[in-house]
Amino acid sequence: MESTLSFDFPWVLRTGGVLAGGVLLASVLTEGRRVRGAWLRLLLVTLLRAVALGVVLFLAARPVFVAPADPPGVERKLLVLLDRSASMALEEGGQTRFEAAREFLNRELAPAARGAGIPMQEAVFAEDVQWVTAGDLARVKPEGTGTNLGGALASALPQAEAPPLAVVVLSDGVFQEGAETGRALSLLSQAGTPLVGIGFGSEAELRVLSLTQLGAPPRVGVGTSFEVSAMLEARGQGMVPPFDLSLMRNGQVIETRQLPAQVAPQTWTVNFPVSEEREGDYEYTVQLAGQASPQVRFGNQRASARVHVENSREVRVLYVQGGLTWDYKFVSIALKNDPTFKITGYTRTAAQSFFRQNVESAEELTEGFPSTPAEMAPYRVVVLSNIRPTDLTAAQQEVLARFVSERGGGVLMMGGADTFDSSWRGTRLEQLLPVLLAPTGGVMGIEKPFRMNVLPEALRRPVFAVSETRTAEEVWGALPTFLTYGRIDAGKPGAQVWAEHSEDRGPGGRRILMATQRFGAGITAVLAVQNFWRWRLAKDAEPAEYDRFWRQLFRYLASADREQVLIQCTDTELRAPMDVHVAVSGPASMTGEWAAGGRGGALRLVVEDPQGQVLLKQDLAFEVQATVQAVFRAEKAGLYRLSVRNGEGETVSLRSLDVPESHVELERTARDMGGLAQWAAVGEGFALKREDCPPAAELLRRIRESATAERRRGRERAPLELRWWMLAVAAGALSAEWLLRKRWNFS
Amino acid sequence: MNMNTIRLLLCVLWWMATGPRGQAQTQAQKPPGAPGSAAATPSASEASGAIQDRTATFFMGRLKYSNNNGNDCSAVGTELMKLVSSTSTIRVQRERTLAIQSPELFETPFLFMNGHDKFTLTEEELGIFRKYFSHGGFLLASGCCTNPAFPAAVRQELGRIFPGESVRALPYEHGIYRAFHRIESVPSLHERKEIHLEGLFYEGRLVAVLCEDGLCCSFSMENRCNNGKGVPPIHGRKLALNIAIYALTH
Repeated sequence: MESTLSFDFPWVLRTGGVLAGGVLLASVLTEGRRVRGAWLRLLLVTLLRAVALGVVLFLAARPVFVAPADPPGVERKLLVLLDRSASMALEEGGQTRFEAAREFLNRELAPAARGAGIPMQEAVFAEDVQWVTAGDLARVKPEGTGTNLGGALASALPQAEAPPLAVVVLSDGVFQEGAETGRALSLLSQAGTPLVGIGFGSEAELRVLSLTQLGAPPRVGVGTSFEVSAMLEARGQGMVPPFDLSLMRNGQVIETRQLPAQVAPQTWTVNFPVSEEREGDYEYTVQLAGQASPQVRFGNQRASARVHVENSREVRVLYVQGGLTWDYKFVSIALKNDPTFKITGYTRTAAQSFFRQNVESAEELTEGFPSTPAEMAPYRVVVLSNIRPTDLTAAQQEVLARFVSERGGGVLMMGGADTFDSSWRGTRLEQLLPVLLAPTGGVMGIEKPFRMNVLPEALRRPVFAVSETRTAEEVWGALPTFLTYGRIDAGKPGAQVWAEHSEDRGPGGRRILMATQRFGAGITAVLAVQNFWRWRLAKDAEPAEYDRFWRQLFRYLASADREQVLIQCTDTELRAPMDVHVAVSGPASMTGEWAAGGRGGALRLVVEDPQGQVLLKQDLAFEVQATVQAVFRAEKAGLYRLSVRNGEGETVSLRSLDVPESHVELERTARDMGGLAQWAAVGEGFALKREDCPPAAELLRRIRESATAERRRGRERAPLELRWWMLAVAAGALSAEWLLRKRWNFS
Repeated sequence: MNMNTIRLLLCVLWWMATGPRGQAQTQAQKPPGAPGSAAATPSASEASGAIQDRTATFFMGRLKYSNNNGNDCSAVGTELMKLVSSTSTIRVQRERTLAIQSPELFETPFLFMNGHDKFTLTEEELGIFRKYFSHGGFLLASGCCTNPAFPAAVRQELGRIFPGESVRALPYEHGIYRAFHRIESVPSLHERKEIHLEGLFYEGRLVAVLCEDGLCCSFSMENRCNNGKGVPPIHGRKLALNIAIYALTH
């Protein structure tokens, strides 16, 4: 069908035409008396004038060519998309959001549309879209694991015989960004179809309990206590009822804990102490189980981690002191009788004098604190005691940060009032701290003695189980008082607080005295109590308990992954299905055997899926670059095994990745009218809360208005711009008129 | 100004010069547990506020034992702490005078005892020492003015603490001679011999050190009180510092 010519300002034509006609008539009458009978000539001149005036009026009225509206005989339908994602199953006011939407559709919108003679087409959508009839709709359950409105529109709009009159989306507005969003927006615009969103639910976040992460050291020694840590998150407001958390080893349940009701929102960690007596690979899975209710839902309920148990390796501790303190002596005593520990001391004894202890070569630490990864490589744990960032160069701080984040080392920062002060702010070393320091610095001088309260959650950790005859509560409750401490404001997100001050409170509650966090591949911890040695020397203390605590703390700090070849996942979030990006880093120093391709020949990255099928084999060329990138496709959720093997098939490095199912639906549960409004704003559509909806007939009237405005706006328009021939016609008419007047002696 | 006025003035000056010290001595001589005496009493140096770093990490206790009131050669404790403080990064807390029975003994990782005379420890005191050493405490004992009675008593009494362990000489190869200064040998000022520190060990760890040749006189009073005997002052200061550093690092 051809386009039609239209005018943006048709009144210019009407008004201008009348005025121009009047002017021309007046000129004819005026000039007619002078030319006396030459009426034909006068009419010709006037006609030429009229042509020139007509061109000007035509252009002034803004002529445009408009494409035709709808093909003849095509009926526009109302397309209704009903959200069937899991968040629509949340119950509010006695019915689920999905039930409320379905009831609105069946009882109000559909009858009103029939009454108005508007045909309707219905579909449900979540991660995909399905056409449904009214009968089908009764059987649909809101169980979708995502809300991909863009994908639904991109799929539904091309299938329609004609562009819909409007798309009505019945949803809670909690959409996830999809790859087809852009295409959907384009299709809506091309079809001239407005989107009308009706929002169901409430703005309150409902309670959702999720198992967000499972942590376990990748390698531990035989007989060494370690922890499988399940990070849990309760979202929303109110109480989350009691639930069970089960730990499974290789598929067999070994421990089930009944956890009490929790207040949401909060994030916390539940630790399962584990110890294995035999070497081998163990897969630990934590399963969250409980009674879901319309008010409380479960997000991710399962996560796994793999641990390789092997004979203990030596833990070498570098103990660096900014000045002489008694702590080094007492920690040394604690480690003295355990052959798996070796402590190396590096202490500033005077302004320019350093004291090295237990070094393995005459050259070790002679140049000061390690400033290259190779110098740092022999150690697994570094203790910074009474050290401030200014005591280390920027390069040394960087090496230390990389030692933790990339090489899986452990760092413990100890000190008190004189150590933890504002000089830490903005430094690389501060990033290692699991806590935020108070801007006012520490407590200067001895205030009244205080106690260190170890938190109940920490007491259940193997680090704090230091006695065979007394409970952790008894041991840690009987600690002597301490005198000075560093003043901490709060823990960083993700940090685990282990101990607090008995009295002093900061902006985040009681002052933290001990805390830890994972930092990249490694672990960091802080102990902000000065003179912690007081515990061992105390009259009623059991020195063996103090000694055991330090051994266990160092084992914990050293328990992070530490491989000559390091496998790291560079994706921040893992959700199946997805392409997983992996970076494999070579050893810190590319010495002979590694530069030659590793022990036993060339190195190869092997990725196996949860069923043990090899997904990827990639040769690693470390002689070209220190880090090699690799990508594999994780189609299904589960535990993927990544290993680097040498030519003899020996595993040089091992990493397991738990790729959870893509179940992001319950991460947000509050109705999001903003999401609906954004989609509606693409055209002439609108978004309304269900409770603000007018009667269905009125709603349909508004929808029709929007559709009309959208069609008008959306039709193809081609303005007729000033062209050369228009100028030629006008100029030709005026020229001819001037020539004829001269020839015929018209004044 | 007549003579009476001058006498009165001299009396006042004498009282001002001797009064406070007389008071301190009187208090220190009260038996433990007597009214007005504390288990841990501030020393003369503490009263004068000589070393008052409140963020200190080095705690030293001057030991009162048996019949000794912890005040022999009164300034040696303070002198030792000044020496340690001025030569190293150690931040020194003020000296405390402690009885063996004092609970604060177990808050003080470094003890210093000296004396002239023989002494005997009770079974209770031996038990306290046993616990103190096994918990990580350290003791430096120094005979005053090269008097043989005190070192003999130290050897005898410390040798009773741990079965099978006795006080024995520390050869110059021992780490205590290299903990800060490198000391190859320590000559005696009055004999043709080398002076060796002696030590008591617990589970292979040096927990107590004895110097019989007036080490305290050497590092605190330029050995003036020792009548040309014992440890040369330059060696005495080095030895004292090495002992303190060794105690902090082992």
